[in-house]
Amino acid sequence: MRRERHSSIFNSRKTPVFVPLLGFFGAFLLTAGLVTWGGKFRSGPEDSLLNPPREMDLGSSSLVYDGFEAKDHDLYYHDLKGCMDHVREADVVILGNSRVLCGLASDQLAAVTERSGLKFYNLGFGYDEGGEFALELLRRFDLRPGVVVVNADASFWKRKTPMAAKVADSWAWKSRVGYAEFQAAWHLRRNIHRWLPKIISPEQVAIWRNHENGAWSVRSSDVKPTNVAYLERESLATETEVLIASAHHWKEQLDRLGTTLVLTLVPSPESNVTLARKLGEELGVPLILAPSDASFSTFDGDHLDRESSERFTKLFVEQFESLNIESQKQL
Amino acid sequence: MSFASISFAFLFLVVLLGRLTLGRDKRGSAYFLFLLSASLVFYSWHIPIYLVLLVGVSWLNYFVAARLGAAGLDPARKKRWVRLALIGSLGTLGVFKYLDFCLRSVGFAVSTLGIGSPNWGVDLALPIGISFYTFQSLSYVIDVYRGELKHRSSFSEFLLYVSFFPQLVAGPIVRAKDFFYQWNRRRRLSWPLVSEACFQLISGFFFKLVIADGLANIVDGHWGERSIVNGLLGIGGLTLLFGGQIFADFAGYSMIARGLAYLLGFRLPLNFDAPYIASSLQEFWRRWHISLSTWLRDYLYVPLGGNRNGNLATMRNVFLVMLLGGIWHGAGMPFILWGVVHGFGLLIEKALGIRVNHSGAGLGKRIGWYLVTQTFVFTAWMIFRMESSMQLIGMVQSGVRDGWGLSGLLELQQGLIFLLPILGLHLRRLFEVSGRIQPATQTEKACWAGVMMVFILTAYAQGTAFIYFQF
Repeated sequence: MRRERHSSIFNSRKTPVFVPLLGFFGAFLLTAGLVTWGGKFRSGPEDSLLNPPREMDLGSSSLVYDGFEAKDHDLYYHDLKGCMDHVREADVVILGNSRVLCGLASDQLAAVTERSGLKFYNLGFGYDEGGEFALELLRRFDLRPGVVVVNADASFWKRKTPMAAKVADSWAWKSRVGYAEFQAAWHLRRNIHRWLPKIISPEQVAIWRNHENGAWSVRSSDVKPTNVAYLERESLATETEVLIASAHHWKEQLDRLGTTLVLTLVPSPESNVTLARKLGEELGVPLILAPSDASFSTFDGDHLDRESSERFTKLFVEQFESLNIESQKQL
Repeated sequence: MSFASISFAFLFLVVLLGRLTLGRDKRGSAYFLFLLSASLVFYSWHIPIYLVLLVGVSWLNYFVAARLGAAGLDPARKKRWVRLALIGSLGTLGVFKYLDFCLRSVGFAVSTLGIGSPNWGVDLALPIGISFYTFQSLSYVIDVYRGELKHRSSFSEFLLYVSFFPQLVAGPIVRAKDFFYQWNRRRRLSWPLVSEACFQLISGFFFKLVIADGLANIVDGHWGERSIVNGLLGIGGLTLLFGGQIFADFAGYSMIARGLAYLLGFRLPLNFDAPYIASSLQEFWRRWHISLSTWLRDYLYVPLGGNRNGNLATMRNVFLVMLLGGIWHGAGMPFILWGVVHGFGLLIEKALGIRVNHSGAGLGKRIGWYLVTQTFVFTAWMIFRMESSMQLIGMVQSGVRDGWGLSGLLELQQGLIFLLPILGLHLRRLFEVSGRIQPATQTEKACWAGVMMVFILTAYAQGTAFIYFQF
């Protein structure tokens, strides 16, 4: 075996134990002090960002994104927290990307449930997930909701992400262990950063998900408030054709479950209302839109803030109720 | 299971408990069986069924070595047994690592010729560490065949050698004789040993979690499918960052592996020795992934004839070894090309009569060759990292189109800061080699460990898998 020329194992037996120990702790404390002192001069998230939102019920919510890793897929595909029982009870399942998770306010939807008994579940997935994964979930758990509402962003009609494929290949016990590790790592980091700042990429995002209604609670230091409205944009003809073909295929599979499809479009800088209308016409399904002159605002440049999501949800609910889908289905 | 995971921390705590309690000198079968169990749990964490493959390949080589060790076997039969081990081990490696690539390449060739458009390929998940444990098992068989090693009578001892978890999935590739040489050693924990192990562990985690992962975020962001980089300086900067990332990632893993092994009472060979101070390609390969390059030298280059059969044969052998070294890294054109490029580089050095350390040359000449060598090494990293030939061509075209592009380099300035510890490590080693400074004392190492610990806690980046897990 190659002999190490710089190894100190065999040449430093005479050093008293306490000297290196003193060196280690001295250097650690000095560097930690400098880092903490330096951290005061840079703008970063408040410490409270490490904690869950105050209004959130921790008993019925789980951390699904810690700024590094997303666990929504595991949570639902392997039903780690019993969420699928709540999805099963829902009359209306909402599907789409992170925009629909932030754009439809759970409080407003809960008010509809109280008023009419119609139960909603937001089964959207962020991270550019396609609708194929949601469909796989419905089939896996033999779910046949009365109505499925889809946020008609272009990304929904694309194939599932590698993240979804990985979760589908993984065993349930591995997902459970992975989730336990994820939570433990989060708690560890929270406790470390009570004492020491994070000096590289201090921007943080953490997302919790409610088991009972699927709503996201987002804490983000990435605050870039912007105004958004629908985009009127003609996509490339070939691109539109491909999307419409995928949407037809997706709807055919949904039809086999005996579920009615409704489209909506949460305003965002990329929400193409021209494409959404085209999809609605081609699929022959209702499309719920906010008035074209309505203006909304986002908290991070992409997702509606609380006030806008409440306003959009109100408009959504009014139009949804006016569709009278149950009577249409009976016909 | 990754070293940078909570499951591993838990497993290692259990192993440490065993280390402290099982037997007095830790050379009894109870301790070794305990280590073997931990290693198998460690490996099965990825895809449990692949444990069968690990045990199967090990058993085949163990069985062949047992035959070779039997008395009275004539040389021709011995050769046949070795051939069986080679075909079985390399065949398994070929199926899992190269079959898909070969089928797709044939399919591509067929469709290019217009004969049809076959969609050939096999969707097999790569068993992690397969290249490492295949080479380790084979080295055992070859050493027994050559009479350099006595066959072990216990399969569990052999299996522990192959599956020893600190080095199982990404090396260093340990020779059987180096591993079993330590078998009967008394394994008492001493302060110098624990302190060196902790230094290796902290350094390894620092290089992986802070430097390699920090650089990965920047490099991957600029070097995706649509490579975003401006100008020649931008491309140069990005290549420097990738060179830093792959060094920190792999050297970091090796440091962690060595630290863990120290704590468990085994010494693993040094795998990296400041490769970016090399002033010739020959020297680079004596400092980069040392365990692989020495394996290839001893089990491929020398049996092929080494440098004993004239210049032409030597050059052929060097080229073949480098080509196979490239293929060892993975089934893909980038790795093959990378091996070929290094092979040509070494051939040019041989043709120019360049010696490893440029002994007798003046300082200016040495600096000149250093710059040539490292420019070559880093340019070759671009080939290693490319996702497609079109991407590489696109990058070079954009570099030529945009000119020097200082702005491209400035965009990468945060990444350049991550290179400082790597630069420091190499400078220190350079001064050590030239005798200007002494090797670090325990106290110095402890101070550095304290500093690195703070950065591990405050400057860690988004975790990425170790690059060499895929090999």
